[in-house]
Amino acid sequence: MIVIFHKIYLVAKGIEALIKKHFTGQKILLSTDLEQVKTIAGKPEILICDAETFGYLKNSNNLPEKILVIDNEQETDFQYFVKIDSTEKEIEDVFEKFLPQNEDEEASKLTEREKDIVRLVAKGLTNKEIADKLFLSIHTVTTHRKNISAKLGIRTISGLTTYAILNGLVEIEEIKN
Amino acid sequence: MITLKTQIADLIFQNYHILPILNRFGIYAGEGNKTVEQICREKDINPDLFIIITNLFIDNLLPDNNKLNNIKISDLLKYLRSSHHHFLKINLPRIEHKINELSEICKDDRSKIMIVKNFYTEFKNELIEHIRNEDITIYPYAEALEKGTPINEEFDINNYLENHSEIEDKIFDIKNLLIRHFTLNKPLNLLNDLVSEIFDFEKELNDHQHIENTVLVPLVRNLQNKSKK
Repeated sequence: MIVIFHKIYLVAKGIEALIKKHFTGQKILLSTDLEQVKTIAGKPEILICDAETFGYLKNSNNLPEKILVIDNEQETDFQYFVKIDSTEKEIEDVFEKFLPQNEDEEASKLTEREKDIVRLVAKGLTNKEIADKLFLSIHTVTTHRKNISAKLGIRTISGLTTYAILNGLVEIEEIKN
Repeated sequence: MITLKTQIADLIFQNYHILPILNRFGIYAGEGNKTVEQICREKDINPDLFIIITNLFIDNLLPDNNKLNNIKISDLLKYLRSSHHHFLKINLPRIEHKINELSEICKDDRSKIMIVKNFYTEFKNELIEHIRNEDITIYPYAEALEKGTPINEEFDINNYLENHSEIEDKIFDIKNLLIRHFTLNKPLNLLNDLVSEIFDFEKELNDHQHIENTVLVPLVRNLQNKSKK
């Protein structure tokens, strides 16, 4: 989910239009109210906001993974920044680094290692158990899991299990055990 | 942005998928020439609530917190309960019917379709359980707070937010599985119909949850803070 907080409605709407032009399939929510930051539930993966909102949020311990600030002046602690009067091209250049890119079919195929992990997830193993079984660190397994979700567009364990059966990575009988 | 002066027809022209939402307010297509202000007066709808819900649907715009003051929890719950009714009686059976139809027609692919159906059933049961919990615990709690009648002191609205994302993620996955990873031996319009049905439902479900999170929860939280002082 992408959440856009900007005190100026027109700016929020403009950012939304640019994102939609290039990156479909992402859920987007807009807000013009700083107070709303407190109540928004389900942390967004991506937050686009003005400097004031960022200042308000930066010390909270529950920050979204990626934050893009759109405002007048760049400050050192911004993860990503776009100046408010940038051209479309300049904004798109930042978006390219910032937003998940669409891959072609070849690039979105799973590697053999990723397939191994999907199999084990489908069989009900936890990340820790998968790490032990494949002699990997938990961190590596988590990274694989993220990449798999990004490639397949599937977020839940049940979704991955369904994918694994549909694609013959596991048999239904193996799941039941 | 939707205001008191917006015509109902404009809402429908912008995105006709809003029709089921209008339904829940007792508004029908033939009344399109009326403005939001007019129709809310005639049908005794809280205009602030109507504008919040339609702005979210059409514009993905969350409400400003200062707009919440005029919302009565009882009005909001009436809307949320009618959404629940719609989910249970219309959306879920419709999707299930399409999946069953698909498995009837595509005999070669039946086992594949049943795999997706299993996942769908898991999602459905979780959603039904979630709705039941809201109907018997959370909504009555909110109502009691508003009326000032005794409440369950153990319950805390702040603990309630987490549950939503799993259900949202599951319907997102079902949609993605069908769009990206599901091919039938015989291509069928019915599959596209099913996907389109799921899209509509996902949007309504997500909006419903955003309304709960950004309108219901802050209102209840305010009352809760007052009552527990």
